[in-house]
Amino acid sequence: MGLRRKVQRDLMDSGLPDDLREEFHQLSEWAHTLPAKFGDRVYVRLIDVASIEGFFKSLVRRFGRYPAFTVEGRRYVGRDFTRVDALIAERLHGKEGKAIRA
Amino acid sequence: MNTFLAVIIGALTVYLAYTLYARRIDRHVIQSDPKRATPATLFMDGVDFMPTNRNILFGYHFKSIAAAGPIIGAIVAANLWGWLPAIIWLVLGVSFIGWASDYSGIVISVRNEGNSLSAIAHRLVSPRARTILFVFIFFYLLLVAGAFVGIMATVLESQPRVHLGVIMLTVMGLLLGQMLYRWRTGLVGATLLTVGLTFLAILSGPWTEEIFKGLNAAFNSTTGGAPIVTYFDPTLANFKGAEAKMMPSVLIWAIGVALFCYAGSVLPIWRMAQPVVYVGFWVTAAAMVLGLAGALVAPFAKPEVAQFVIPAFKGWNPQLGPAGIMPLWPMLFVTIACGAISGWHALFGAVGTARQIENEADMLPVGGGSMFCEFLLGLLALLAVSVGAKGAPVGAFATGLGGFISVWGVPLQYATSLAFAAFIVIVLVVTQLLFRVMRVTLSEWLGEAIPPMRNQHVASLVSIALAILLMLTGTWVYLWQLFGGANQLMAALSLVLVTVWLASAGKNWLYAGLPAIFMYVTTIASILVTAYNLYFNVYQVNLAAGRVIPVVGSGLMVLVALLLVAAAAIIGIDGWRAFRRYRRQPISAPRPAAARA
Repeated sequence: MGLRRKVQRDLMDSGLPDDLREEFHQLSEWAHTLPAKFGDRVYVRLIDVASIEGFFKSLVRRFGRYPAFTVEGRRYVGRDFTRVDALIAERLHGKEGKAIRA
Repeated sequence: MNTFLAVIIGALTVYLAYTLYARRIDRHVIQSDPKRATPATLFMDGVDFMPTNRNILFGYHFKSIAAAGPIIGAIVAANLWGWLPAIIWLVLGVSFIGWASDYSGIVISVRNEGNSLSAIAHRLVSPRARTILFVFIFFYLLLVAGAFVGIMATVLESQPRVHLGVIMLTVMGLLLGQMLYRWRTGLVGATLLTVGLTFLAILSGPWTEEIFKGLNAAFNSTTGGAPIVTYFDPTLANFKGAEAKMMPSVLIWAIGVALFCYAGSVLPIWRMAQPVVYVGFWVTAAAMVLGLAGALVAPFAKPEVAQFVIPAFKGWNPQLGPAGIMPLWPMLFVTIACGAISGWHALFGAVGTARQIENEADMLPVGGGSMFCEFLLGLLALLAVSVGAKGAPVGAFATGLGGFISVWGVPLQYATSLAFAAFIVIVLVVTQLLFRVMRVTLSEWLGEAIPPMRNQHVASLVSIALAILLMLTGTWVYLWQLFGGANQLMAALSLVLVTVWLASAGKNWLYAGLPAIFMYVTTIASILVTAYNLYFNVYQVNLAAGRVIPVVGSGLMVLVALLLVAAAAIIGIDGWRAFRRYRRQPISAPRPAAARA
């Protein structure tokens, strides 16, 4: 493993506590299932909560707990990804042939 | 000259250089192609390679390159040669060299499968170039660390008004980490609490000044008022040089900074480094935005803080110490480093940012755009000192910036406290990450030969001890210029590499080649001048006086300087040979990756 990769690995390994890292992996795995479920009609954007953008998004969307999702303005807070799938499906149903942003 | 005109010159520089020159190079020479797949999209692994939105990547890249460089360099240069040479170099440097170096560092990595500069040097120039670059980078990091720890310890010792703010920043950073990652508190509430209390502590600095002055006096009484190190400082007595004393309080604050960096180096990122950076961002953003906007309107709202009062030009070769020489060429070009051009930017761009570029069209706005922002930070520092702020560089910056902030109705003493705190925060957050990188670097290089170096605590403490040793020599001007020389040499070497790569691909190499020649010759000359100054102005004077620490420290710096020159000479020779080889017979450019659908 090269030096740069070691530095990166060190930063990644200590970037989150264990439970949150596990949660992040679940979220990541769920995001990877989306193309199979919805094709290329869903555009996903992941935002780090502990960032300036995360601050303004939390302020505007009034999020106090995480993970938090918005699908074209519809909010959901929690870890039940099936609820998010349902939200996406519901929004896609109303927009046949168009893409949506989540 | 006044601050309004200077800000307009700065804005015009950014606009003209970006639209008329940088974009043309991007379009016609590099031929960036939004449809070409980047390493981030091809090799996405969630660790190294991660396609990232250009706005986020811009912020990440800028935060990683902005530290004390653009601030200190501009102020020291204005004090030595006057504001005119400083502003000319800032404008010309960023327009023709700085953006090209930052941008090209990203381009060369993106077009070479995300490889680092050393790996590309190994392939294009020579195998030994890679090893030499590794050694070069370690000493370069050491010089940066020594310069930054020294500056922070001196500022903390001399400015008791910032202590409470810095202590509160640390405590609030730790609290924010706990709130976000353990208690899972909402970000908005946690931000309002932690950032609000940090601002409160910073602004109450003038009230708590006396308490911390008393603390400094208590530290100094431990030796009965005797200094821990006495050294010869060539910058004192109107640059004629005089004996200086380092009191115990400076060492105590240096140890305080070291403890902070040690914690930042060994604790998980989420526990300290990340939340401290987050809280610190709000402090620096407030100071910079209020300061720059204040400088723009100051001639109309508060003219007494807007007129340049220091001389436009002070001379070609100001005296510095009994035997010191400080010729405008080459020394100006390394004294002002990061605001005009910086090797750190190219290095970081190649090993970090390039692997997150989502689209080739983002390379210029992220790499070049960040460099132009860094230029504006350097310009702000130059304005701060040019309007008459006196004293040491950081004091001059804080006083001048405080004046600009006071345009908005903030009382001057509170505005100055905010400016001091902003400076400390900028440097502190970068230094803790720097020691983290040094720790991993030491473990990797020496872990096999010296097993204890694999231990993160040992590697951190060794890195910190070396940096403090450099600081204790008291020769911060030369340490700064040596750091500046190493930094600029890194930029020159990256430009040499880019030139070789352009030649190998049969592209027009002039936009990188001409700056590479200028920076290469200039920085090698400057490092030799610094070594000369260190030897005759510091080493010999302190040796005659029998002072061990300054002699060891300055001797070490002379050796580092000569080592850097030797390393640069070898890479330069190998680079020239490779360049001639590729000019005669270019190799085909790396096959473009498959275009995305």
